[in-house]
Amino acid sequence: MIDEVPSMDMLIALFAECLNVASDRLTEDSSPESISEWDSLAAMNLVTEIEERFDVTLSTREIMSMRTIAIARDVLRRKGVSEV
Amino acid sequence: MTIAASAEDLRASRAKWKLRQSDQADLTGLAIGIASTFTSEPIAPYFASQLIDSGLGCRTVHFAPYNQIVQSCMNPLAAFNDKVDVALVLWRIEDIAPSALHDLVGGRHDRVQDVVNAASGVAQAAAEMQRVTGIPTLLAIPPLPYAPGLDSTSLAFGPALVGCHTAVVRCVEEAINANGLLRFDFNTLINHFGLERAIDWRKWYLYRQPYTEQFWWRIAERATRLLEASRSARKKCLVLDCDNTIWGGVVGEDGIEGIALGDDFPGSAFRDFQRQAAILAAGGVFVALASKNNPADVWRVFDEHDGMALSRDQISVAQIGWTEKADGIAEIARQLNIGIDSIVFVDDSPIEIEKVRSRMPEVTCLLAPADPAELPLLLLNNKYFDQLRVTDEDRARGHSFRAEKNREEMRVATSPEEFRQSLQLTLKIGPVRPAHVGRVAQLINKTNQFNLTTRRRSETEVSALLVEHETTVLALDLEDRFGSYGIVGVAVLKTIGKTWELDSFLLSCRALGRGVEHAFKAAIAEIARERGIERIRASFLPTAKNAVAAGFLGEVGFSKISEEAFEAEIDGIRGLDPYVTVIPL
Repeated sequence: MIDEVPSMDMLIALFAECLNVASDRLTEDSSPESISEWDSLAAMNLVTEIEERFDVTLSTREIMSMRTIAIARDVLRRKGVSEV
Repeated sequence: MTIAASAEDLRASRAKWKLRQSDQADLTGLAIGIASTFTSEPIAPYFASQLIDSGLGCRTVHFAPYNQIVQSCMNPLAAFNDKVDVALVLWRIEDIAPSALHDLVGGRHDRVQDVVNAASGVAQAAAEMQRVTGIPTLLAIPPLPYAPGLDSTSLAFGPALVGCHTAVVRCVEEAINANGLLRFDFNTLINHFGLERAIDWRKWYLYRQPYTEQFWWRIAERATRLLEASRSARKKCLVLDCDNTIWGGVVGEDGIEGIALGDDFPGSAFRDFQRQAAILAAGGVFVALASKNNPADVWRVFDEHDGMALSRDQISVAQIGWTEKADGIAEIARQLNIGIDSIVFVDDSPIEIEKVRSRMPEVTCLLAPADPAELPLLLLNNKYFDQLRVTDEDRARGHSFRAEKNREEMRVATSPEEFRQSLQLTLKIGPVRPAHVGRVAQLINKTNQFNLTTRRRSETEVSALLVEHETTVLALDLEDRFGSYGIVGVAVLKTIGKTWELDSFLLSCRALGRGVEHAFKAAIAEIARERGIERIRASFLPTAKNAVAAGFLGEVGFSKISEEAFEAEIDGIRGLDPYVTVIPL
């Protein structure tokens, strides 16, 4: 059985760092509704860090769609980011 | 000198900031408050890291609620949720008067006044905050409006916006000058960086945050530089090599006709570099030469080459010959009576730079770039000689130094007693007035040697002292037969009952060694007596540089009451000198 999310997942680690929460509190379904630290300032910060870390430019539509970590992962994969 | 940050610098600053946020261990440095018409939080990591690198430190950065700057200035404690040491008011015209601007580009020129009134409201609120709370406040000069709904590039509407912007800038400049605010030139900053490059429309629409991370770094850089200039001492002397530094080529080999200096490249780049040095000289920086050359060759270039921008009388000291440059620099420092740590040395030879650096790590050594086109950039964006404004004393410094040379000649030729007698010193002493604040703050921040407590204060802090009821700030202005020294001494006194607590007492080294320090003390005692003060309490806080002042309190009649504290009854203070005339300032 292959674990879909590796134990040291880059994206989870990045979200944990930006939201300033422990990575074990985060799952693929984590969202601003379930994580109180995920406010608009943190969201802005996330965009900066994601764009820089994966060398991508996100459109406003993509940014607004990223309401969970799973969606963010999907958006990044569709933009050709293979590490996530 | 480049000030752009790499993506890595930006990321490292953000990571460090997050760590500091979570462990909260470092409670030193400035608490910054930012009131802005847009989301400004991205500046925090960059501002903090640059403040820490500058030595000013940064304890925390607080943000007032978004786009409520007038209210925030009226109640900064509530807005910043804490006491702050410095406030930055960052704003744009398009945020404070959006509908008036829209009407304006639509052809209603009468709306200019409404925009100016709104801008004036912001400036007055910032001034009020500084006046009431004493928090030094950086007020932004706003950039040219640039919003999606207002096309300032439009051929038809652009001119109205530009005209309105000019009117707003004039109004804000006036408020800054009238209220002693710190002028944060956001407009020039964004022009240099590039308006289009500074803005990230996505973040503006999503988060009301208009700027790119790179531009936030630059805003932080500029604000840090302004705070540094307002609080710390600038360098005092620029020491220049000659060959391949202030002209191209080697005068001893190429001859005066063969060196590159003048209208055409590369001579034009060397002349631009000289122009920068000449401007520094006019603003009170000593310019000196340290060159391995035949002195006659160098002076011939100064006297005869029409490409020279620096003139011979702008050179305070010249060390031209075949000795080591480090010895020359030591001699320059001795003659100017400044520390070698206030010297910036420029040379095109990496070997000379390395030799000076290894013998005198305190000297700031700059290697002149091999490409002359880069030479004029060496002193641009460079904080060493930053200052907020040029005072009369600065402008007179070159002249003062020559007067000092004449004094020195007389001192050598006469006995100490005769020397003091013949100087005909006049001391003018009295309370500091607002017009003196620039010079007084400069002395407070620059004087290292004869300084009993070495307490530094910004201009705003000095202005605040002037209105404190229990505080007296005295200035000493000095003159002799060779000319005026200007204001050379400052004393800050706090009244506690019938005692004056000497918070600060300092004298420029230019005035030392002629009985002035003693006479200043005696004159203070005289003023104290008039005001019913019975004793003066003072302290001496030793630093690496103020040993010259160590014995002073004892000499003028103070007795030691503890490790650092001294006290004297007014009648026991000595020091009046028969050769010195004391009159009110």
